[in-house]
Amino acid sequence: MTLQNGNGHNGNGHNGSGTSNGYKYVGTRPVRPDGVDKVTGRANFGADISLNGMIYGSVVRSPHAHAKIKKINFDKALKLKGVKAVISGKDFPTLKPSDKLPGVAPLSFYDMSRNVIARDKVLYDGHAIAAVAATTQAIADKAAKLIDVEYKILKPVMTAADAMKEKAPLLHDDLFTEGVDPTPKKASNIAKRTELKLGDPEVAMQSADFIVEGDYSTETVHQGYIEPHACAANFAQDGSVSIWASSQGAFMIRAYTARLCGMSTSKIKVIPAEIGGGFGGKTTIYLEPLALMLAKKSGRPVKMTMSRTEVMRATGPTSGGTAHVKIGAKKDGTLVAGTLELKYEAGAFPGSPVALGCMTGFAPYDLKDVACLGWDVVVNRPKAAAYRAPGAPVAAYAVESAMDELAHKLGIDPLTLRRKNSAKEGTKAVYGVEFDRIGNEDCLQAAQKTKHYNTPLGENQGRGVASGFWFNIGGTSSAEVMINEDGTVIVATGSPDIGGSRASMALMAAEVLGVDVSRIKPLVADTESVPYSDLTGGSRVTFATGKAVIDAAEDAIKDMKRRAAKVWKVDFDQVDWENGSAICIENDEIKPMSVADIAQIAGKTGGAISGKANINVTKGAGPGFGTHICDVEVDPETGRVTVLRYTAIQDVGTAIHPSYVEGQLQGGAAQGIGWALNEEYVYSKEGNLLNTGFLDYRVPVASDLPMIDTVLVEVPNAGHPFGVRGVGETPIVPPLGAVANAVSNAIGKRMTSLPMSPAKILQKIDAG
Amino acid sequence: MAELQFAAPETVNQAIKILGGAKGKGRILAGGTDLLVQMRSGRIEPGFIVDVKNIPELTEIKKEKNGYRVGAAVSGARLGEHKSVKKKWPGVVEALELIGSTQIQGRASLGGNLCNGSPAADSVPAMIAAGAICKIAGPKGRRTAKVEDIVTGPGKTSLKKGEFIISFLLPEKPKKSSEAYLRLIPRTEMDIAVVGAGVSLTLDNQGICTKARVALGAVAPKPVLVEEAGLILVGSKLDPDTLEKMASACRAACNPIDDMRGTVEYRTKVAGVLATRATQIAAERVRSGR
Amino acid sequence: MAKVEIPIEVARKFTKGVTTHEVEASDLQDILISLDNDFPGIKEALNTGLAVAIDSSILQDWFLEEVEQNSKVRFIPAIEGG
Repeated sequence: MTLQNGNGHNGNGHNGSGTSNGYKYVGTRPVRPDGVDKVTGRANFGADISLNGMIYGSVVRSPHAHAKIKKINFDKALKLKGVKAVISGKDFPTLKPSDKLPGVAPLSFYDMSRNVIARDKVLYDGHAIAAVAATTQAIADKAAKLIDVEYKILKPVMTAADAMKEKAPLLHDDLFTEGVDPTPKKASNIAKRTELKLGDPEVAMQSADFIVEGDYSTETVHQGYIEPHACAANFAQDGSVSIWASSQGAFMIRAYTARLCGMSTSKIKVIPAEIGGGFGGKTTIYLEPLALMLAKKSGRPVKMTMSRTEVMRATGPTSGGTAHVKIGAKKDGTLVAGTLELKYEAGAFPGSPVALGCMTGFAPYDLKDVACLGWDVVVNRPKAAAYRAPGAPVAAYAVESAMDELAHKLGIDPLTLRRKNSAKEGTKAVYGVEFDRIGNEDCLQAAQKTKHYNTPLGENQGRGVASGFWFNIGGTSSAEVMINEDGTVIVATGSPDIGGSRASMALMAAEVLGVDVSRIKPLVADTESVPYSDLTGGSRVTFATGKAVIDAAEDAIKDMKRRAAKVWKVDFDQVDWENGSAICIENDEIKPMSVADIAQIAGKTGGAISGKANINVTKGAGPGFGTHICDVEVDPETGRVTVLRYTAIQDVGTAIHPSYVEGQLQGGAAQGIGWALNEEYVYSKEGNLLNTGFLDYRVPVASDLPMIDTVLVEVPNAGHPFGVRGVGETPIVPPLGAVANAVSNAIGKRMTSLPMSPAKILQKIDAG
Repeated sequence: MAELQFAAPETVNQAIKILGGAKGKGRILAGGTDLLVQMRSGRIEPGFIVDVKNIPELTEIKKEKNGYRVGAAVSGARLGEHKSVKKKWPGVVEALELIGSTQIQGRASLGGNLCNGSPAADSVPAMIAAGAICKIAGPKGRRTAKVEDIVTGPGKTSLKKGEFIISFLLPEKPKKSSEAYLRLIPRTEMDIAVVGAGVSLTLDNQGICTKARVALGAVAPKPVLVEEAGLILVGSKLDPDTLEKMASACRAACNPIDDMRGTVEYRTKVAGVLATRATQIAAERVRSGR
Repeated sequence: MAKVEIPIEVARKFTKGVTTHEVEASDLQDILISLDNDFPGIKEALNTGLAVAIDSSILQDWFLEEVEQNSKVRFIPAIEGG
């Protein structure tokens, strides 16, 4: 595989002679430790587990978008030979609305429990109602079909606009709009109203020479991970359970499953499998409580694997939504005010990322008078799960489209307009925070200098640019650095590797320890082998877990220095650490001791050597800014779009492993391009999902995309020892706007609705 | 649960016998790129799978005096590597090669693509344009039929109980003939045609069209031969006016549905666009001798 | 005195819409207690589902963090990630 990259060399293996950033290992490109197994089929993913006596589960799912469950009859299924257990919502503890995960984001276990298995009501096509376990998958699937469910069918509500209507059918009669005062007494499909404001945009707007205003819409899209959800659960005689599962957080599975099944965390062990893509969609649970309960009832290990159809119908899409945007500017291009109103479809339960859309939409711009209003609305679609920079792409799509329109109106180059108004150090974002040193302007400048941006276009072609922002977060991470007897090193963390993080952990440990990266084995440990860690998400792992690894490596060094001091009979503070060895400061005749030397005598000097760190990185996660450039050609007779050229420019802090950083930029861009052009959930009038597979849910295939060029702008983050900034989420924020602007510029008309399918574009062209 | 049975006969007669014994529950397996997907999704539950890839007649490509005979189970990858067939029937070959991906190409066949009965099958409009003839075997012996007479509606064919297609005859063409197939999909591969158009042409030495057949896919319950479109082209030099008239005839022949892959309006409009472009490509192939 | 900003929704409910407050406090708990004295019930509202920004740092999981004189403290929507 060749990765085209913007900042230097390609290839495998670090060169050993150091990098231009002054580090020996950080910034090199060794092959990831999990890579070869993954591309040769040896790696074990969620569905690859096999246990003695294992049986198979199958889920009964609602064929209706909105219905009351009157009765579930298991008689026929139970008569089928090979069926070992059946379960329904009745087998799980009943939770209350007040059952929430304590902490900053109040996750509702009440909702999660009813999403995992419906109780009295089904709220979307594909909602799980019951499950069965049998000796073969075929018998389990057949038994699932034999479970009779009687429904009272209700009218579905499929869009935010419909759900917000006064007389719309209600999904929940106990949902009252939050964020309005007084709290309404009447139940509503509007879960929450969020408002953010700086200054007075209404007054400021009056001083504008030019105003652009528009409505934009997007559809529900799925994360599109290749690996469907899968897990296996096995009960031991003592009532403890082991769960093998692919996810973004083994501790997350443990905590949520324990809560939904009424068990203590100490009874549940979660062993992380390799993960075949998550992108946020694997930050919650679906099958695990069902497998656990089936295993409990049957007394056998139970494996459950979703089909693609189940993944599409019942797991983590992200919200479709609408945006109304208004931006005012002076003749010279200075922005004077901006407003944004977002309505996001949360799916069947509250919790769309609309507040994050409000916070991020205008973040790349320095606006003193700005307001964002967001509505979180429930509809009869699967409950939205996180998806890469949740909430930000839709908001950015509207704002970046308006910025493009404004640039045209003013006759200013769109990147120049953005630079003129770019958020920089000291700019206060609409959510109230002033930025530290950020790379926003650096990205715009770098974009303007690319060869891509300065290459002329041909007939029917258009170019679009867009910027994007994501916060990035820190959080709780644990790491242990263990020195083996031969001086090799194990780096254990509790952070599932979804983007090459094992390689990054090894590189950072190598840098701190001074040990060659090939001698370091990074691993993702189970929930009983490392202390608690937050899930992998929010672009936090290389930053926060990386910091834990650095701290743990330093802790191990301290221990090794102690051993050397003991052997040399000198004070601890006479020992220093240099190039992977302990050295004696006062006496340079003492031969330094390498990690291997110290490891060899570990037993004689006090036992095994390790270092650990359990930290909560509460601050310092530097925000990420990026700018993308997209060229397209539109066939004027068919409306079909070809993406000709694409460049993603991003401030990535220090790139620990540049190839995998570039991979993040390319992957985010690819997903964003799919979102912009072809991906969408298509529902029938009755609320049944019509495109439940990759044939008609069109993620881009490799041949649809040009090589996505990357430019890594490295503005080191002062909040991290190596300057790491999260990179995984920002790259999906700009593409929707960049592609929409490119298409709009190619056809000379503004596209305001995603996805920009050929039919939609042709209709726009033909509209005259 | 009924057991699924499987057989891989080595002669046409054995296959006929097995299918006869399957009491209507038998299904032919060629490449399986539709059949296996439909089985996995639960859309069909056949009782007996009859794999025909071991029958020589179904997997041969051979020259006959009236043209080339292509076995119904010949894969896209094999046909694509056959230089003579590719030179004479570039439309049929490019249509078959559009199906699926590189992996699918190792399996997907003309026979399977036709008998699946999809209105959007890529190779079918191209075969209709080429005037391909099916050789059919069944309990009552063998018969022939035009490709355009096989599909009767979505998922339905005129094949009678126990019948299956052995091979296709691609009839010999006059000199200065060529053909082309185009389809529209939002992606570049791994997709189902929103519209497909196959055109087969013969020109004389002055560049005047002497013979033309135009067929469309995905714009009606079955692939359609638009005879009128062909007649409009005959006698012309394929000038813009004629092409526009031909495109109108194509649009008039459309009777599509609105679905998630395309609207009636879009399919109708694009049918004319693709028919025009396929005509131009076929003509260019004649002129350039390729 | 720390300058504290609270969300519009919370302000509407507890402070007659005033979003900016000056509070004498040395840590975040102090701020909550002090605000709750003036606006009973606001502590719980600010403790649910909100992150805190102290100057340019966003704290997702906050509790006893120290606040300096003239610090700007803002209660903002919690951030999730994908």
